[in-house]
Order: sequence, then structure tokens, then C-alpha cells
Amino acid sequence: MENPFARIARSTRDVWNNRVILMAMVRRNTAGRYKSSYIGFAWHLIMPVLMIVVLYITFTSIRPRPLEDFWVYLSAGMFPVTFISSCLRGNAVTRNAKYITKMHFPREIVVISSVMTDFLTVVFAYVVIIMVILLSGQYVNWTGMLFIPVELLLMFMFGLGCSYIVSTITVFIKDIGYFMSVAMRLVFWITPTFFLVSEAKGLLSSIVWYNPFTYYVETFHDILYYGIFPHTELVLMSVALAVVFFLAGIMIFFHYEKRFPEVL
Amino acid sequence: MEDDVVIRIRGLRKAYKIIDPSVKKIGLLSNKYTDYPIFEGIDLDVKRGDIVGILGRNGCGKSTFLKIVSQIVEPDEGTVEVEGKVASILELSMGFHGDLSGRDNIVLRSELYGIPRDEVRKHIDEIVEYSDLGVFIDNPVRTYSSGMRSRLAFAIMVNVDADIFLVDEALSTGDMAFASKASEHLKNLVRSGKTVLFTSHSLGTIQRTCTRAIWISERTIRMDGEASEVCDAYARSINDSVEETMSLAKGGSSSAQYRLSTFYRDGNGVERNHEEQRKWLEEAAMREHPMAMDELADILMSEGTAESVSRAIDLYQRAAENGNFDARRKYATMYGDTHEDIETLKEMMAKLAESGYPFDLFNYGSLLYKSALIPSEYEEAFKVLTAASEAGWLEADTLLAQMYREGTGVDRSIEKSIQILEDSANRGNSRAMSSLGDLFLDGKFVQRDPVRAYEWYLKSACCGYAKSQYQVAVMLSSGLGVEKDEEAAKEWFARYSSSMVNDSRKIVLDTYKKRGLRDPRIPNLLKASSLCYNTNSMVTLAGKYSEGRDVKKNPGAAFSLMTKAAVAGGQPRARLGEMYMDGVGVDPDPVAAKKLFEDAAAFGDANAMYRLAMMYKDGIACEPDQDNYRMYMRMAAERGSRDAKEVVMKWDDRVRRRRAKADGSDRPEGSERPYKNESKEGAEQPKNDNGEKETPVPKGEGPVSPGSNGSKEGYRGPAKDGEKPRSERPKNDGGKSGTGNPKKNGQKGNSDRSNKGGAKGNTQRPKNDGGKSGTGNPKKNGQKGNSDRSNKGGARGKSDNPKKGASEPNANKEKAKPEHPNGDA
Repeated sequence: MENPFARIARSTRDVWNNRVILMAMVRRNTAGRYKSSYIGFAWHLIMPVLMIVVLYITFTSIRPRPLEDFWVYLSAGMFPVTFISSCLRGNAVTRNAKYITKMHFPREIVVISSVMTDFLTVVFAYVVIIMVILLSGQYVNWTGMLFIPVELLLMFMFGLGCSYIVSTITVFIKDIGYFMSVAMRLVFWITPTFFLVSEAKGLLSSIVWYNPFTYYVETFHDILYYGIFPHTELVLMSVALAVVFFLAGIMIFFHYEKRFPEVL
Repeated sequence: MEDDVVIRIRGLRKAYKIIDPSVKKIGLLSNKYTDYPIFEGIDLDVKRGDIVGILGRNGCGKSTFLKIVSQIVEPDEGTVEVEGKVASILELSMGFHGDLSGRDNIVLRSELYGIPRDEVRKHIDEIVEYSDLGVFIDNPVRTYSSGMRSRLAFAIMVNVDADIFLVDEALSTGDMAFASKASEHLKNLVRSGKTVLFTSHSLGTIQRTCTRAIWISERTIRMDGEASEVCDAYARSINDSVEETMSLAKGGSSSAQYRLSTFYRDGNGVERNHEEQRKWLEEAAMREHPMAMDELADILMSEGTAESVSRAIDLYQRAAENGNFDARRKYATMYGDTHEDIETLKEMMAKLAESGYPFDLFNYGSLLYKSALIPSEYEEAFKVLTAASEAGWLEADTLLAQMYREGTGVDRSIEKSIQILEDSANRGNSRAMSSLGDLFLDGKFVQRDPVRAYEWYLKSACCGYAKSQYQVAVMLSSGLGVEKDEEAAKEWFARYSSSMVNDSRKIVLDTYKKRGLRDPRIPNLLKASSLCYNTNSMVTLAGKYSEGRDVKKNPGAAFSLMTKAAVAGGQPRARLGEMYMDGVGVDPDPVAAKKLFEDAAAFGDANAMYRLAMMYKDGIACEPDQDNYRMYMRMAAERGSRDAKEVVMKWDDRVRRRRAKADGSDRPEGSERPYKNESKEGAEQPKNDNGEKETPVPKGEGPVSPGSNGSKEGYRGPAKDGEKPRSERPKNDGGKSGTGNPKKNGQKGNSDRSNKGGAKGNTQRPKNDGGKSGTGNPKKNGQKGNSDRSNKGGARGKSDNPKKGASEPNANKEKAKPEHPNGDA
């Protein structure tokens, strides 16, 4: 058995050598998605803006919350949750079965490209959010802002790790895919997006910190809503979760990927 | 890895997991899969520049094999080493994004093959051009037809740079223009040192495109070799496989149903079973399969009840409407009620055949064969033809071989068929040579072998058989079965086209002769047709050289020309035999002469028979033998040799006189008639000595009956007589190869030369004869007064320029020399 780190190094090299394919797949997922629409790629930017507008209208006029600037809180936490949820959909490999069975290339590319596509949406969203925040004259913590790219990358690693695990299992047990879509609903409601962590009561208050999503969402809340540099525990947990999930995911993936072409 | 081997596979094993209901496993989460082996120990080397086609039935693992080579699937055991960059095009339409335009998809798809965008952009116009999609290139791919998608995909692939290309079923989509473009591209790749592996179910594509083919079956490589051979073997196995045919037959394929019925008929792979045979014939006949209808009708006819006969007639009619010639004839025979007529003809022929002369036996046999309706009649025909062939009649061999091949009147046996043809061909039957060539080239009945096919075609072509000359030319120009040689191909094409006008040359020569016209150009005509191996002309020309008529006397040239001509049986061999006897251009050699006479006699050459008879009489090169002497003399007389007739007439006179003495009765009137008939026939058939005349003219009873002592037991009795020449022939062969007598050398020279130059096919002549029986020269006398030679008599007056005459034979030789290498190759 190959040394896991050597394997990861080889994989990284392979992916880098085949970056053309990686980029092609990302482009296929992004550019292809809105191709027949009139404004095409612009939807990537407009979607988060519209989302924010909807949230703003909802929580200021339709269903006002006493909390000040609740739409900032919402938009800051919303996108990490959707990103991680889509990473956990688990169809990264099965969706690209055609390529896996017909082409010789580093198979991690299908997972990476799928996660990258979703990640791009998050990045665009944060660009928009930050711009809106700046325009609306909110207080901005600049050191915290500088930490956003780092946190995004950590979240990317975490999401990638999740995706590796779930996608691999889905190849062998298709049921996981259906289960995950239900599980995601639950996770969504135990992640502090529509509520503050301090508001959590009873059972929720005890399980909310067992939910790994919470750490990433809270980090963004800290930076964007509370305007502070994120708490040290949050940062450490983000790093730890990213590393653990990424390593675990990639190990599982490498262990099973050889059998993909036969099973798919 | 060695220099040239780019793919090396050793001990490859692979098993897939499948669900096998026969293996019971309990529990929801328990493993319900069992291992199903696909490959068990495959070894394979593929060299750079190979274009390998992979054949096999559905599910045999062709695609898996490609996936293993392209490292998509990992083998369970064994090693796969691949040198160079691999591009696997396992599915042409893979990775198209329906919403993107063709142009965008070109970029996307190329990127998936690892080509950077900038690189693609540089070539995009070429790709668009190659795909030939016109305005559609800017429309979304989802609007494309599948053919258009393939075109686009292939155009993209053309731009992919790799060392090894793996293509799965890619060429099977798209229209013909596309398919040929695609296969041309693969060939180009290979020319530039790439390697291509591709799978296909189209044998034609593989044959056209590949240099090598692999047939995967039963978890291993069943066959690996030249593409055409593997394809043939594969096609044969599909055709011969009972299971395969059975499943096709059940699927409603009428040709498979017919084939299956023949399996049951011949006990080929299954037990003989008449009910099954009948059942499948009925099925196939229901689907209007002409041969099945014909065969079913035959069976019904042999049943003989009124009902079945009427049904048989109906079937014949329908088969005839579907284009079956056999059925047409049978239907016509029954409908037109010519049966009685044919019966009479048959009876008369049978009577003729009682003589036991091979010629008559053959005519009778072929009549039986042509008019046979039911199996028992075919069997009869087969018996008669066998007798004719045993009596040494070469033409019977071709027909017999055909019957063996088709299994009419005898159990089907390809080996027998080939053996007969080979025997016949070795004795100078150019049509048998050509048939052998066809067999080996076709590969339907035997292992396809272009090299052997070429050899036979070449021999046949050297006998002047036009069809074979064309085949040789084509094979030379395409490099099939022989090294490619455009120059030689050109020469053979020229010979073929020249052969085609030989009939016209013959008409000119004959007419000039008949009208007594003279022209100094006649020798030129002869030379021209000699160059395309027309045996007649070669013989005539050789005659001129040996006597110095119209051209300068040159016995050497005469002898070498005659040797070339003698590749074919019949008259040329007889004339060569005469040269050996008389020592023209060569030392006298009676043994060689006798052998040649025998061969010629087997072709029905009267001169040869006469000379042979004389040899037996005088005991030259053999023991004196009265029986053979009489038989050959009679046969020679039959075939129109004047000298022989005189002899035979003397005998008969003697017999009659003796009889007259004994009976006291006067000469029967009828006895005079036969000779009249005969001499008339002699005049009518001036070419009799040339060889076989096919027209089975009923000659009346006269000429045969008086002399055939002890040969009245019917055609099979005399066959024993007839066997003699045959049984002696092999002995001669043995002697020939055993002793180093000059005859052997002579023969050797013959066969060597046969590879490069030769003679005009004797077998073609009957056609010519048929048209012009009447141009005969009544002055013909057995030995010397050959019609051809007297032909020249007319032209003798204006003697040719001697210089030219002398230089011509040399020119001939020079012409022949460059062909040596081809012949050897």
C-alpha cells in the first residue's frame, strides 16, 4: 500500500497536470448551466444579489425581526450552508459516470470540479455581500475581512472532504443520496442561520455545537455581522475539521476509486 | 520495453461482479454478487504502427479490454504496460454539453482530452472544416442528429495528439462518407507511427482498415493474426456455430433457418434429423427463402404424392420468382413438359456412354447433372462424372469438385473438392487453377489464404485464362497475397485487356486462312496474343519458328515458346510432346513425350491419343500394350484424328470381313454409314484435336458400337479400361520424381516458367469453337497438318523481315525475365 501522503502528493501532481480537464469540467458546470439563458454567466452574480434583496424585503417589511440588520446575519450564514449542503448531495461521481467509465484521468477531478463549481457561487456571493455591506455603510472589521479568504479555503477543504466521503459511498449505496437530501433539511434547521446561537434552547442548544457547519457559519457571522475577528475556538475548529474531513475523505476516495468504473 | 512494442500485456485476469440468481445469498446487506471472469490469462504485444481490430460477440469483453489498456479499469491480476500517451475514444458523443454550440463543445471536448484552450483555438477552423457541419456548428449540440454528433466528435479526435488511440465502435455511426473518412484517418495515424486499437462488429471495416485483428472469445484471445484471416475465421465460426445459427433462426432470419436445416441435413454439429430439417426448411420457405423453397420442393417431389407434387410445383414457381435459377429450370421443365424430351436425350447419351470413353461419360454426366431434379438424380450424375474423372477427363474434375463443395449427390467434403481441383490443376486444367484461386481468396469454405490463391491465379493466368489474369493484376496492385508491384500489375492488366480481344484476333486469323488472304502482319498478331499467353497462338507461332515459315527458322525459340504454352493441358502439351519425340529444339526424349501426350490425351487431344497409341504399339518408352493401343487409337479416331480413323477403319473392315465369312451375309448397309457420319463430324469439328468440345452431339450408335470390345457392360465397366491411363499416370509421376532423367528437367523448367509466362487456356476454347465449327480444314492430318499450321500456309508467301523474326523471340525472353521475381514472390 502506498504511503497516504505520497499518494496525496501524487494525486495533487496528477490533478495539476490535468488542470485543463479540471477547468473544462468547471466551465462545463458553470458556463453550461446558464447557456441557453439570455444573460448567461451573469446569473452567477445576480443570483446572490437577488437572494439578498429577497431576504432584506422579507425580514424588514413582510416578517420583520426585532434584531437589527437581520438580513446581514442571514446572508452571511446562508451561503456556507448551501455550499456544504450541495457538497453533501453526493452525486459528484455518479453524475459524471460517463467520464469515469470512458476516460482515463485522475478521478478526483470530478469531485474537485463539482465542489469548485459550488464554491465559485459562494465566492461570488461573498463578493456581493461585502459590496452591499460596504455600500450600506455598515461597520467593517478589516482584519476580520482579511480572514474571509482563509476561512473560505478552509471551508472548501471541509466541503471537499465531505464530498469525497458521500460521493464515494453513493457509488456503492445509491440510497445514501436520497437520505442525504432529507438529512440536509434537518442539518439546515440545526445550523444557526435563521436563529442566533444564543437563542438556542433545550435540545438544540446542546447539539448545535456538535454540528460541524456551525463553526464555519459562526465564523462568518463573527466577521460580517458582529464585526469582530472570529473567536479562536472557531478558527481552530475550522482548521481541525477541514484537515480531518479532507484527509478522511481523500483516503476513503482513494481506497474505493479503482472500483468505480466497474460499479458505475 | 523493446523498441517497437508499445502495449505489453502479460497474464491479464479480470473478473466482474455480477448478480447470479443461482447462487442464493440470504440477508438484505449480504453480498449478492458473484465473480464472473471475463479474461483469464491474456498475453498480448502490440507494436508501434499496428492498427488492430478487436472482434468478438456482444459481451465478450471487447470494451473492457480497451478500458484495461487505457487504464480506466484495473486488472485483477497481470500487468499492462503502455508506452506513450493514450487517447481513448470509447464513446464519440461523450462529454458534449447539449446547450453549448458545436464550436464551444469543440473547445470543451478538446480540453477534456487535455488540450489547452489556446491550442484548440488555433486549430478550431480546421476542426470545423473537417466536421463538415456548416452552419450547424454554431447551434446547440442538443439540436444535432446522432450522425452529426459523431462527425463533430470525430473531427475533434482528429486534432488529439497521442501515441495510442483506442476507439470503441466509433466508426459504426455516421454515413458512409464519414465512415470512410474516419477509417482513412486511422490509417493516416498509423502511417505517422501511431498505434490504433479499435473494436467493431463490422467485419468489412476491420478488413479494410486493420493490419491485424484479435478475436476475443471464451475469456481469452481466440485468434490473433492478419485482419482478413481473423475476420474470415470469425465469420465462419458465426456461420458454422449451431447455437448462433439457432438463435438467429429463432429470431426469424430465413437465411439462418435455411443454414440450420442444412446442419440437420448434413449432420453438421448436430445429429442428423429429418424432421428438424423439414421444420426449418418450412420456416425458411415460408419467409420466401429461394434456396429453402427449392430444397423443400425437392423433398416434396421425392415424396411423390399428388398433393406434395402440386405443392412442390408451387414452391418451385415461387422460388423461381425469387430468382433461383435451379428452381426456374425445374419449374420450367415441369410446366413445359420437356421431361420426356430430356429423358430421350438422356437415354441416347447413356448409350453413347456405354463405350466407356471418358469424353462420352463426361457428356452424359454433365447432362445428368444439368437436368437433375431430385437427389437420386444428382447421385447418378455424380457416379457418372466420377467414372469420367477416373477415366482421366479433366473437365469432369471441375464439375465433381463443385458437387463435393455443394454437397449435391454426395456428402459434402471440402477437402475432397480441393484435392480433385488440385489434381486437375496440376495436369494443366486452367479453370481448376482459377477455381482454386477463388476458393482460397474467398475463404468461405477453407481458411482464407491469399498467398496460395495468388499462386493458383498466376498459374491459371499463365495458361491464358483471362479472368485469372485480371485477378493477378488486381492482387499485384493491391499487394494481396503477394508483394505489391505496380509495374507487374500494369503488365498483367495489359495482358488481360489484350486477352479480351483474342477472340477478334482469332477471327482475323481464321478468316484470312479460310479466304486464302495473305498479310505480313499475321505473325505480329500471333506474337501479340502469345504475349498474353494465348496458347493457340503460342503453338502456331512455335510451329512457324520450327519450320521457318514467315519468320526465321529458330527451333530454340519454338521449343521455349512451346514449353511456355504447355503449362496448359491439351494441344500445347501434345505439340511439346511431338517436339520431344522429334527432337525439335531439344534432345529427343520419348519418356517426357509420353508423359506430355498422356496429359494432352486427358484433355481430349486427338493427336496426342494417336501418338500415344503408336507408342504403345511400338513399345516406345513403355512396354508394347495392345489394349492401350486399341483404346487410344479408337479414342483418337472418335476425336477426329484422320490417321487414327484410317487405322480403325482397317480394323473394322477386317472384323466385318471375318463376320461376313462367318455369317455368309453381305455387308450391312448401316455399317457404311457410321464412317460417313464420322468423317463428316471430323470435318465439322476441325478443332477436335485442340481439346474438349463440349457439344454433346448425339452421334448415333454407329461409331461406337462396333469396336468397343468388352466394353459393353455399361459405362462403369469400361471405366476400368479408362482407369488405365489414370493409374499409370501416378506411376509415371513417381518415376519422374525418382529418377533424374532429362524429362524431369524438362518438366521442372516447365513449372518454373509457369510462374512467369505461359500459355493460353485451353478451357476457353470451347467457347470459340462453338461459334465457328465449320472453318475446318479438311486436309488436316493427325501429326502435321494441324489446322493452325495450315493456317499459316496462306501467309507464307510474303515472308517476314528475317531480322525482325530473329529479334522477336529474344524480345519475348526479355519480356519474360523481369517477371521472375513476381512469380517467385
